[in-house]
Amino acid sequence: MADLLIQGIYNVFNVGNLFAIFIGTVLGIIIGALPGLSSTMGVALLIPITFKMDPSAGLCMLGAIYCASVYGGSISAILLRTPGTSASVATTWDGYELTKQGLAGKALAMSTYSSMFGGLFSAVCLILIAPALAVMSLRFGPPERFFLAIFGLTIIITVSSESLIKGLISGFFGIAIATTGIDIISGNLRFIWGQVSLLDGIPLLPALIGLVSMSQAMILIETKRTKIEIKKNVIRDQIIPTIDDLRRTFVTIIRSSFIGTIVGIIPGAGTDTAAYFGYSEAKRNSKHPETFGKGDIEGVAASEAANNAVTGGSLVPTLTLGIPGNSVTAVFMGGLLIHGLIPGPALFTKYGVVTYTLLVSLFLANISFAILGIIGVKSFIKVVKIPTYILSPLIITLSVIGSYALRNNVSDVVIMFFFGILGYIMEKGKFSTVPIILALILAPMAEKELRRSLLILGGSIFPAFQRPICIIVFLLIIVSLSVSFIRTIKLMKQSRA
Amino acid sequence: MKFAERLVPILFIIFCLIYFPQTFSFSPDWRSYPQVLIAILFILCVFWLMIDIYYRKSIKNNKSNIIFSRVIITTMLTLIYILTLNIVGFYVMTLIFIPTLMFFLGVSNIRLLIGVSISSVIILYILFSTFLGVSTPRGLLF
Repeated sequence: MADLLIQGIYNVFNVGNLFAIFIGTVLGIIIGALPGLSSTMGVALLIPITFKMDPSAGLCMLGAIYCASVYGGSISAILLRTPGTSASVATTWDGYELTKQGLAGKALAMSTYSSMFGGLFSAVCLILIAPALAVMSLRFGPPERFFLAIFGLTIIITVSSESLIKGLISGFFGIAIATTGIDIISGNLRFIWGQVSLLDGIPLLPALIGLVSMSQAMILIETKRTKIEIKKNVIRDQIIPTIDDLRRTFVTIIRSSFIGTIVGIIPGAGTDTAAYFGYSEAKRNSKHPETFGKGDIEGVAASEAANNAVTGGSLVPTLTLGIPGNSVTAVFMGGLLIHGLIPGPALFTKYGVVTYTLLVSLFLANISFAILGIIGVKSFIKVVKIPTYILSPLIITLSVIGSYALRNNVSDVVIMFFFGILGYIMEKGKFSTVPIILALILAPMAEKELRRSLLILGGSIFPAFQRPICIIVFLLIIVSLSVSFIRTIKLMKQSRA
Repeated sequence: MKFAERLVPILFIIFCLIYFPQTFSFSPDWRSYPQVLIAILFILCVFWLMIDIYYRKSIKNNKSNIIFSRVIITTMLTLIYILTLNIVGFYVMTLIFIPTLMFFLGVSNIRLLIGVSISSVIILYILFSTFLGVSTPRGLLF
């Protein structure tokens, strides 16, 4: 591991990789700051740009976009009370109050510093934990991988939707359409409707771009509200944290970074969950909890450290087990697969240099967004003023070229369009599209491993329950479904009351 | 939106009714997997519709700010854009699509329409075709 880490450090300082990190950071901050766009959409739209790049540079750019976009959401959250991403909702509670008090600079400085710290903390954890977990995954055979894929599907289904049934509907639809293409065992053609472009199944990237980006472009223009107004001189004080603020928030930042990393490692829990959890723990442990929500700098520090700490944590299950930590890493995993990098032990051995370059690049990405964020915040905030009637056509155009670029096939663009319409209707009906994305990634793996397991175990899956890892993962599946079932019952009782 | 919450399962039910008969053309050994998936999806959608209709009939639909004509126009223009890519060419169609969509979204400033479309196409060309070497749909024009 040490020699691969050293090679990764050496490789990341290659001019191409540094440029990729810089571009990724700038784009990530812009995407994060723009309300209506999300980290998931940013990574999805920019994956096609990485096709022709060296895999190291491509992944460095995607990693930088991920880290910077989570941070970028705090800029509009603090200055406009409009979170750029869902991860920054908790930041608005104290961040905007500080802006109203003429202390926007102080809030921005603290969000930058704590985001950087949270991101660096989780990057260290990623480097320490991931290789060990990747080695452990060598003991996973087809039955274990099958149950793991099912666990990944259930946890995302249960966590991503307000109701278990809606999540299951999205998930089963995704699993059903994931059967499209050639059956790997029998050679049957399934659901291709005479289309050669569907022989390899529903193409992942166009479906992903449609569900995430194209649908968002339509949401942006569905109302007449076109742009956000920003007051002149909204930042009146210095964008520098004081020693007193740093001292006061030190323990909070460490705690929130720890919370964010753990939340990130758990598949299904996202940056917003981590931010709320970090904020509530900071408030609970504060000597003056009554000041939270009224402009307490600790509130900003807590939510920002936690949400950025998710970035490294969420890459742990993604890179080692192929189970995405959240929707962004689900899309990120699509980027890995497109570059021919299969999650698992091989990423840390055969492709170790590329992987460790990515891991080291996260350090640089976190430092880059901190520097650029402080220097360029007055410029980045102007980007927020881009009207939706400009943004939406541009997103659609990027979606078109992004879908076309992989296979040079217009049918992929048509697939993207239909998934875009579906994604829009599902968003309006409050059905999450994340289970479909994950099903398209995990369901083929689950089916393949199920069939291999049946061949190994003599035609029945029940002998798999003699394997300890299978029993543990199966119990986790039961727990995750039960938790969601209980949550759904509680929500139904609350809505009736 | 209550309508969209019911539209989604209805669409998926239609999907099931179209896809399920297709499974009978698959090899008998392996058709049960997609059949079970589609059957579960069908049952879940019907179940959701039943409980939604039963529990939510007393809930009023909130007035929505959505202007559907904007959504429909965007959808139609995007579809026309996509279907003509291989006929006309990506860059020429993009040069037509962006200002057309902006116009239908309420922009009447000619300078803005022309400025945004030309600068977008130039940037896309430099980034994708020149710098990254990514292919774009080629048609009769550019």
